Amino acid sequence: MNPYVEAGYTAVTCSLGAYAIFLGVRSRQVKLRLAQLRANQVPHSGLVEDA
Amino acid sequence: MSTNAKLKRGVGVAALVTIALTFWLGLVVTPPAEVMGNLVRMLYIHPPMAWIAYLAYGITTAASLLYLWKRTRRREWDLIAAASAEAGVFFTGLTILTGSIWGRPAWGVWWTWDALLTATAVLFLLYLGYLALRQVPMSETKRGVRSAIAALVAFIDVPIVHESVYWWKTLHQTPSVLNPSMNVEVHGSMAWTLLLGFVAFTLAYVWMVWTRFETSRRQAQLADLEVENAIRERLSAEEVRI
Repeated sequence: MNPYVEAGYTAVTCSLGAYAIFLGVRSRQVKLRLAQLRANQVPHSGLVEDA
Repeated sequence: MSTNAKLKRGVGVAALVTIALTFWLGLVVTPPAEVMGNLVRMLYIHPPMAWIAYLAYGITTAASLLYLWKRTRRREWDLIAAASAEAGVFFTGLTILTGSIWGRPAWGVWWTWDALLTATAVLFLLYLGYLALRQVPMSETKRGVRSAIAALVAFIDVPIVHESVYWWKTLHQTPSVLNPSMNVEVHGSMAWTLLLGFVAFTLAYVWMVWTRFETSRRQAQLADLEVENAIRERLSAEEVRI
């Protein structure tokens, strides 16, 4: 196989893989943070009412 | 798992399968070309990347227009525009990279200040600027409006990139598929592989924009909640003081 073709396909595969992993990880992080914040909101609003 | 999440996962899997199939057809099944030999295999990845970049910037422009028009102004249009621009920058970068790798053996140089190449580099920088503008701290509406205007200005370069091979003398050949006469210059298994490449990378683009959009929407909700919490904490602290 031509080395330039190999380089081209490798570059595309690695870039697509890296970007997909980045998007997946970022999405999971934000999802978890949002879930945490929403879970913490209930007792917190309770505190406000108590005060 | 919600229907939305299932659908998105389906698009992701379809993208993965079609990309793998394109690579297999492109590298193993299709024959070498008469003149270009094995180098023709770059055809199955390079033009689809360029097509996705055009598509991405088209979607960014449409979403920006919908955001600018007050009747249809919604946070979602701004987020779709940003998600699509990010994918567009990613695919423009890959177009330049694969084009450079193809150019070295075909033209003897990695890069030349040819009209098409220069216009593509300008396009890449324009949308990088758009993404940088979005990072400037300002109110959400102001950021949305300013970046929508920037997106409309940047889009002017898209037809320049596409038409540059007709307007000026360039090293780059005229498009094999998206040409004015719509006369496809690729045939047989090569044409099918190229078509599959277009479908595969379009699916990948849809998955990327979908995922990015969802994350941005959650980030916006997160920011809203954090402000809400900060206000609540401040109020409760004041109540305790009273």
